Amino acid sequence: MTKKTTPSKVSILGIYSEGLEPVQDFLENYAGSMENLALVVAHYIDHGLLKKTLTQIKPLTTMQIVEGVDQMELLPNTIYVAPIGQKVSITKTNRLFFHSTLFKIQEELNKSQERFDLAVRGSSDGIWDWFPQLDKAYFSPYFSGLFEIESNQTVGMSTMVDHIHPDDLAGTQAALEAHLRHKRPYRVETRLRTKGNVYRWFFVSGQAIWDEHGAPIRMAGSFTDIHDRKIFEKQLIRTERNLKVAQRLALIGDWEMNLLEDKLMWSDEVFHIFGLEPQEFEANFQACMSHIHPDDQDYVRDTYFTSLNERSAYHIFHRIVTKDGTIKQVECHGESFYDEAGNPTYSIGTVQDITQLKDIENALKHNLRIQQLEQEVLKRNAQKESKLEDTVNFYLKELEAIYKGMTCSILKLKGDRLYNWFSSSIPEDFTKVVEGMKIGPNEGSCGTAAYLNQKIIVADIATNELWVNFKTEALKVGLKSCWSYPIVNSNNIVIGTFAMYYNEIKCPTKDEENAIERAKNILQIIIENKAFEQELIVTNERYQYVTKVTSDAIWDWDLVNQKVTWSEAFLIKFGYEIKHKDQELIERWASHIHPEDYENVTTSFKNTITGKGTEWHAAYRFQKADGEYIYMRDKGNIIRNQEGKAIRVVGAMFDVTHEVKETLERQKSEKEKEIWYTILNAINSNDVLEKGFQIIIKQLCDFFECLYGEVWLANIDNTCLLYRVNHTITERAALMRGEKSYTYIKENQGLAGATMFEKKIIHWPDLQNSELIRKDYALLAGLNAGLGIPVLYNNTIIAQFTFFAEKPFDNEKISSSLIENITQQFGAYVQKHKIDNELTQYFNLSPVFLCISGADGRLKKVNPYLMKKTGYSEKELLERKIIDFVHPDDYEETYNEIGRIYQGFPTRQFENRMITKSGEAMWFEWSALPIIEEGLTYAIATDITEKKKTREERKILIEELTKSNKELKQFSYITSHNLRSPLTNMVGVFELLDFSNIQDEETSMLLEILKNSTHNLNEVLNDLISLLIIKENSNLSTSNMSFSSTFGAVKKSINLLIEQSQTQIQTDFLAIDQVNFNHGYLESIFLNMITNSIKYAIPGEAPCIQIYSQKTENGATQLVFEDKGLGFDLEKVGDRVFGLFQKFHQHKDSRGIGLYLVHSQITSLGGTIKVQSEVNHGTKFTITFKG
Amino acid sequence: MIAKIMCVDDDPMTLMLNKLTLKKCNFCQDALTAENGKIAIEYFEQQLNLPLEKRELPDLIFLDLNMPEMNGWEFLNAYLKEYMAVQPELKVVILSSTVDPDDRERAIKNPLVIDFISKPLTIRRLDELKKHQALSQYFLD
Repeated sequence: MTKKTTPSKVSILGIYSEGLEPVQDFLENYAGSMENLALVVAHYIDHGLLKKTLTQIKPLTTMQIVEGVDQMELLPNTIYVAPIGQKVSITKTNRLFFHSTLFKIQEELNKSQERFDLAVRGSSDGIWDWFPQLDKAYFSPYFSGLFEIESNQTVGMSTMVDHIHPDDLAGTQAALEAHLRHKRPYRVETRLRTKGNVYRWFFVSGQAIWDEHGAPIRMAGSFTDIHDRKIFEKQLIRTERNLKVAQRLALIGDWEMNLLEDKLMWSDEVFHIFGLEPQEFEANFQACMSHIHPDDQDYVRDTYFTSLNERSAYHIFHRIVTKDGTIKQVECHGESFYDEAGNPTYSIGTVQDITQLKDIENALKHNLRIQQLEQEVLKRNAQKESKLEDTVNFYLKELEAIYKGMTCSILKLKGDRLYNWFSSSIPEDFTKVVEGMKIGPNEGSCGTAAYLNQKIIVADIATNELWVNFKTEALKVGLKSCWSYPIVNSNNIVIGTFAMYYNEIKCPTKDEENAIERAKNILQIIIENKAFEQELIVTNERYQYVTKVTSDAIWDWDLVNQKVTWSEAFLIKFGYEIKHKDQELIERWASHIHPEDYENVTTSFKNTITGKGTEWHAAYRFQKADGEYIYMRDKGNIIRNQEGKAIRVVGAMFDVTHEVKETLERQKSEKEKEIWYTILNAINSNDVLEKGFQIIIKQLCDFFECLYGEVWLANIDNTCLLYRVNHTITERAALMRGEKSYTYIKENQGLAGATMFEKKIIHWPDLQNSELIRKDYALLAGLNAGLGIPVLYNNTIIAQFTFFAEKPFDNEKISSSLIENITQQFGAYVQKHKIDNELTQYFNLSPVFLCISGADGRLKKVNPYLMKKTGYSEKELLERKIIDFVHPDDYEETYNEIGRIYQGFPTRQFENRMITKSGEAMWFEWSALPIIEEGLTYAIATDITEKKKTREERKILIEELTKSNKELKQFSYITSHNLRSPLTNMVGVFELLDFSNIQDEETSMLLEILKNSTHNLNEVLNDLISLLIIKENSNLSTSNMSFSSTFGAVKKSINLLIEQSQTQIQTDFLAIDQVNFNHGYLESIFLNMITNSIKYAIPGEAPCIQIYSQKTENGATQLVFEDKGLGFDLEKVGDRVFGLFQKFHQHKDSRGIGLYLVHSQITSLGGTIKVQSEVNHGTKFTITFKG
Repeated sequence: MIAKIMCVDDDPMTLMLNKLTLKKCNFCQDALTAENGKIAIEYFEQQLNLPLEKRELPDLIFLDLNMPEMNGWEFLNAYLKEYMAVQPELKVVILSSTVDPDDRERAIKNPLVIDFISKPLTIRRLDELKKHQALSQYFLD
């Protein structure tokens, strides 16, 4: 029935499916319009079911299962089914090749494209989808915004790879490889070149799909721009470092507990608090517990786990034991995090060392508690119905509660025996022993104390001699130490003893002793005479006595009479005289309250009195007689009548100045630390020094609460200060920086100068009477006080802060540790910035090219001058390789030079041409120094284009000059030659002419004249030629010449002349006979000098010549020619002696050339010639040869 | 006495004076002249074409440097190139009125040249030349 056909049109679509539903979907959409259909489905899909589905959709369709068949004939109306992964090629007319994976791509690309696009369009991330086997990749629209990639098109993955930063390429590809091959997670951070050639950081993740053979079919993933985060991370590292500094200052550390792995991470400061080194401690929960005080371990553990269970914040105070055994108080905060199941995963928190804080706090609490107790006891005692026993017992019980481990007892003295009075805390076994004991010098602590009327401290009962009779019993009940105080009455007669026992060997501390003393005094009062109760309360000498030794001023205000009674402390502590012993006006007290507190205190008192309360509390500043304010805590007990009306208030004023100050001090120092930290941060995080200073000066103005501040910075050699920035709080204060304000200050000029000179803080509290230069401005601006703070570095002023305020500066602030730090520590930071700044200036302003290049052959940093001269932007310069800027003709040489630099060799004066932006060649002369460890090369270059041009021009000029000079020389040679040719013939003629054959005498005479003229002409010409040759030859050969042998040769050549003139020549070359000179010249010198002397001898006298050599002091060789001839008048002749054609004598052979020649010959070889002469007495020539 | 010498100079007066001086000094039996290098070379060319026994070649040449057609240098080069092998005994004395010191240097370096005489040729200079190592064999008497 079915006939094999060749369909003219074959519509083939493929889907790839693992389930039946997509197949159905697909067929409903497409099957209707197709003739043939190739379908690839998973092999486990029920084929029967599939066939049923197919026929439902398209009844005429038949289904063929193709497995492993590569080629087949297509039948119309047939659906071909192949299992997934099966390579199916269906070949017919169009020879279409199908591949199972291709189905999938087309499915994705054609059908889901739109949906996919919609999904990704809104995403801030880029989505990519890659089919490795085809190397087709799809990029979401996100990419076209960032990269030069067409989105929504399938391109090769290599397009993207091209954008990866070269440094990240290897890592990225390795990660991809690892993912595709070994299925490791693909998550990389890489730099990608975005539009405009800017690299940004991206996070790239992806997930591949593999076929059953393990080959990746498809990989998709996302891109996230993490550039800002990366940059932030870098900053974070720096911030973290700063945080560490801050934490150290505040003694706060942080920790993180990983509960899943039982790992505890501690910041450096935590280690510091625990006194441990990070390497010696493996932090986990148990290890941490071992450093917690044994008594607190359970508490800490319970608190922590409770916080985990209740999901509440963890906050605890506990003790830790450091490595060296010190016990510290710490405060911990923590917060925990939980997984989805609610199980805690990790906790993070802080730990702060509060040991010091705790100590102060404890002391405060302790004192307060004792004071409260005493007040309470006195109050109880003052109540009419109170019983002494109750009051004392209450007092002792409370004391025992405060002083842990202590038990008290009071014995009563009757006659010379002691009896238990208040000993309820002492074991009966021991009280029995004491009962009725006799007092004496060796009778335990109490017996002795009562006997001697002085306190007896026994730290160790077991060994103390006083206790010999009692120790057995005492030790039996665990009493190990005993301090006993006698209780006396107003007549100083002992009425009992007050004893404290401890179950350990112990001496009272100062604090304890003080407390006991107070307790004893209180006891004395209440014990001595309950009967004098009335007086005790109203007049109360003993009461005064108690308070005398306390730091508290006790007052008693009779509200009915509006009179107040003061204890003596009012005098002792505050310096106020008690005018009327009995009663005074309350206004006196009120008048000493600090004005700022007055309203609060009086109002609260009034309110309390009119209300129903029995207690009144106030804290205020109170002025002492000497004017000083102290901090006061005041507490009054209000006594009311039956109607509830207050009739009397008894109270005590405690001087808490010390405590308050300590607290304030702590707050202040914390504030100072904070400012210091802000200041350091400001200078460290601002590249521009002024910006940092702006922040700093503001901080400091706030600190000093002043109106105006300035920053001055030392100039480059720290010789003067230059104004930088100011900070003004009010508009008026800004007047300080008026038009005429100084911008630079030298030592000793005004406030800044004085500070600079003294190198210490200068405070001028009264500008009116100061030497401030800007006094007028300051007064105009309403500023009356000035403060100069130097910033020192290596004992040199490197910067200075100047502040002005309305009121004098607070001395405490001036001497604070913050200002101390600024003076002493801050300089190093400024110096660093100053240097950086100077270098930056240098880099930015230098009119030479400065650049730094990296190992990748690209410039990393260039100075503005380089950009200006080459016309390139910084970006252009940094982007291309250096070599790409080099002129093609210099390429190879430059390449080699760069190679040398990479090997670590510095470059000096390397010249090459660079191509500027406008395409011109510019000559550079480079010096470069590679720093191999940094991978950087520091280079400096100058533009030598002009120089090069000049050099080139000069070279051409010299060439031209040389050429024309040569031509001139040749011309003169030819001229001379041509002149000489006929002349030599004439000389030759006279040589041959025999005068004896000439008969005519006149002819003979004429010929003689002609002969002489010819001879003279020849001589002149020869001399001129010699000169020409000397002048020409600048680099003559020299050799070691001997004076004596040169003289010998010359003498020989003119022997006839010498003989004829009967010349006497004496020579002496013993001093030195050798000289480095030109052979011909030396001969010429000898010849000319000798012939001159002969020529210019005094007529009628035989010439006499002396020639000798000598050495000068400097070691130079001299040759001297001396004669007794005509000489010259040097005054007349002057410096013409050695001139050309200068004749000074009428002589037939005188041509005026000889001395000129000699002079030229000597000077041309660097020597000198000097002459001394006197008319008719002779001449002396001294030749000095070049050393 | 040297049997045959040649004077090469473009100045006929110099040639004449040279001949007179040579004669007066009994320097040679016969003195040939040539007005420039080229004529001298032609002479050699001509002579070398003759049979050996008929050749009349000079033993010494007084050679001027500056001459038209072929100057002294060119002559020396040409001779060295063409005739050195035929007449290796030839010696040359430069007789020139040149003043260029380079000429003297250059002349002395030439293998043919045995001396350099600055014009004019004088009897005294000839007498000195007779004592020259290369020529003394001719003046043994």
